[in-house]
Amino acid sequence: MRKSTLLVFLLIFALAMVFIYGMIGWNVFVSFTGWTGGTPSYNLVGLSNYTKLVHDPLFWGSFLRTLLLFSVIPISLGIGLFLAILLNQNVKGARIFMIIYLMPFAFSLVVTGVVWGRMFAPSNGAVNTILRAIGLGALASGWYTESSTVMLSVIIATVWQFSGYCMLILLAGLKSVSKKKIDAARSKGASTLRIYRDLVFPRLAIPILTAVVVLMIFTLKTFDLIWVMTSQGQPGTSAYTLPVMVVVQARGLFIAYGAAAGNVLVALVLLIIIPYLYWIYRKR
Amino acid sequence: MKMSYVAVGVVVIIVVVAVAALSLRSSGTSPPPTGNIENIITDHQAGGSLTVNHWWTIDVEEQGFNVAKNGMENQYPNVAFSAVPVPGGSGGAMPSFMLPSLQAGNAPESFQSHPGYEVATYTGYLRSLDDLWAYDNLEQRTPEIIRDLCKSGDNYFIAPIGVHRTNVVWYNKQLFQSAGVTPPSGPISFDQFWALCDELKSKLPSGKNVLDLGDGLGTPWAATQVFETIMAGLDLKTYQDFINGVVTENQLIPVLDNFKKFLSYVPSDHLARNWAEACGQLFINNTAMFMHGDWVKGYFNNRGRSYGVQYGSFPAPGTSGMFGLVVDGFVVPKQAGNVGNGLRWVHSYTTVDTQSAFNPVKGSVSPYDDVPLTIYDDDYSMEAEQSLQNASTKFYPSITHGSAVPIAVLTGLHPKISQFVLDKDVGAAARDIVNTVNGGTYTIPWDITS
Repeated sequence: MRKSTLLVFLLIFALAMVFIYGMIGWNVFVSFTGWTGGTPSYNLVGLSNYTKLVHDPLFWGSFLRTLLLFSVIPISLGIGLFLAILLNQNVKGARIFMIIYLMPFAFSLVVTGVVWGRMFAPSNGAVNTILRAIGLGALASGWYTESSTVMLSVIIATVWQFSGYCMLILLAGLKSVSKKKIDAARSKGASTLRIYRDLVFPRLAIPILTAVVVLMIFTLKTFDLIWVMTSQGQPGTSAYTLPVMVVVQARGLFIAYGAAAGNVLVALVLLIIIPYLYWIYRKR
Repeated sequence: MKMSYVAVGVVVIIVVVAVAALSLRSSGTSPPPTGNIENIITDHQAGGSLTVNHWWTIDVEEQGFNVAKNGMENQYPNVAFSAVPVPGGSGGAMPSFMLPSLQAGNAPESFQSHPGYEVATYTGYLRSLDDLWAYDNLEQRTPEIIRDLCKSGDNYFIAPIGVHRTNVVWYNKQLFQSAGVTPPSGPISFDQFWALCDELKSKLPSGKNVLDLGDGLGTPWAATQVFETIMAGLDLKTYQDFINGVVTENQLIPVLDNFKKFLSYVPSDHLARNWAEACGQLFINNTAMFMHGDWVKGYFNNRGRSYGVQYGSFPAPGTSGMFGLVVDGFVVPKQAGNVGNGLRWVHSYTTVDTQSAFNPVKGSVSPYDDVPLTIYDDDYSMEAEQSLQNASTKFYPSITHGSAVPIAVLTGLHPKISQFVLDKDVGAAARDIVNTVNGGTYTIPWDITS
């Protein structure tokens, strides 16, 4: 490797060490202190913040709702695969459709939260208005204004945001399947279902895994959308996820406690990333 | 890997850390402004930059801020004004936003705050404004309650820009007329208020609402504000015990019972609207009444509605003669890049000209008694201003707007109130709220009953 290349690599490595891993390490340290209030305070309190987390029903509710958000992944993948298969048929205007389906992925989560907040407005939002107009008024609900449907609202908005990304990844995977092999299988009388099962889906394993890992990280970080759409985790605390809980603790200046909750989130991310990276490098 | 590469890597890491640390420290202290306060304020040719952080981002709030900004730019035309919004209202987001910047020494020239506990959050980071208070005669121009609230210990760290009152019920005259219901002409009790709500409920057409909450889409604090207004109206002693961190469950139960009754008149989709949109429902004749602060008046006035014509108000039940205080102001950090411009900003909005332009737009009243009453073109504002200047008014500092309780208590209170709005479980809420409130660290001994 040339020295100039190595220097650039080392510089980026150093920046990452300081501003990513260094800051994560700092957060871990703060979680073992008693820092509460506007002035930094580094008195060590051992595991008491983590013990408090274990006994805090708000933490467990937030944790479980964070895991609930993972349902975004199979739904987004399913819709993405469906769209990818459609777009792979070489229909006219496929490129334009692709751009339209991909556009939500370019929006910030704040924009998505504001837009879907309006669309889910119970009395005059687009969703309930359309449901009532097509005779499905029974499905109209309070959406993010009711504790029973607030997470469903978040999931729908998040799926809308990310299924375009899944479509793109899977479309690339579909296009990598050899057309000759498909034609050969067809000429031998293989059904479409068999072709997809034996030829296409095995080629989609890596793209699907990549999309799963990326979506897991996005959903773990979904804070902006929830914060904006549910007005900071309402009704009550029924839309609290770990990121929301961390921010609420920070706003109350419970810095060390919020850091502890944040470290749980980091641990969740590592639980996903490390096995993925290990598997990827083992394959090589 | 060769040792030389490892050595280079270590050196690079050390350089990056050193640069990061130095860049954080280098913006720490700024040289103090040259000259005394008079030299600073009278230098109308001063240049440089002025960054002001604020939370006035919704509707009439934003319009009011722009009026104050214009006032600054007129008085100091060479100062480059940069406004940094920190949305959310009621100041809830500001402390967690500002404190890291203050700790890193990257302070703006000024930022918005409320007196009382909110200002106390920034202890050690703020420049005393005693010299500015003296230069602008603010002690002589403000009522005692404002002076007392703005003082932290022996010093002033904040100067007020406007005062709002929270214990108000706004009503739509047309809806009352069409329902054949007579609005109250003055103070009412809780029994009278519920009787009024029941009458409206029975007479309003389908689809019209008696009350609204406005606690959705970014302003969850609106529910806490109703809670505090009901509490003050029921028993000011309970309010005092609450803000001194000694309230009991027995004291809170009647408050929550009445809050629960209030919620029975609020539509189930209240979380679909923030306070401005709840005002909008009043504006378009969908809601009959809205218990909220008097920035509502700015909302209506800025849309061509006139107080007493299309809309009116009466004191929240039980709060006759009371004034739920929301004092908005700005502070100047010690480590601001240009402290002089921060002081010029604070001075500029205390002038009679800016006060006269700002308060009618914002819907607030001026804390300064040399601002003529003629700037207000409605009975409500004149009455509010006179009430503010009247020593016999029963003032109580707002919990919701950062003055009355520590930030940690307020942040813990909001989700408890929100949970109560959701499940209306009086017992559980009383217990949770007492645990939250009485677990705080209180440094201001409030006395609002004597």
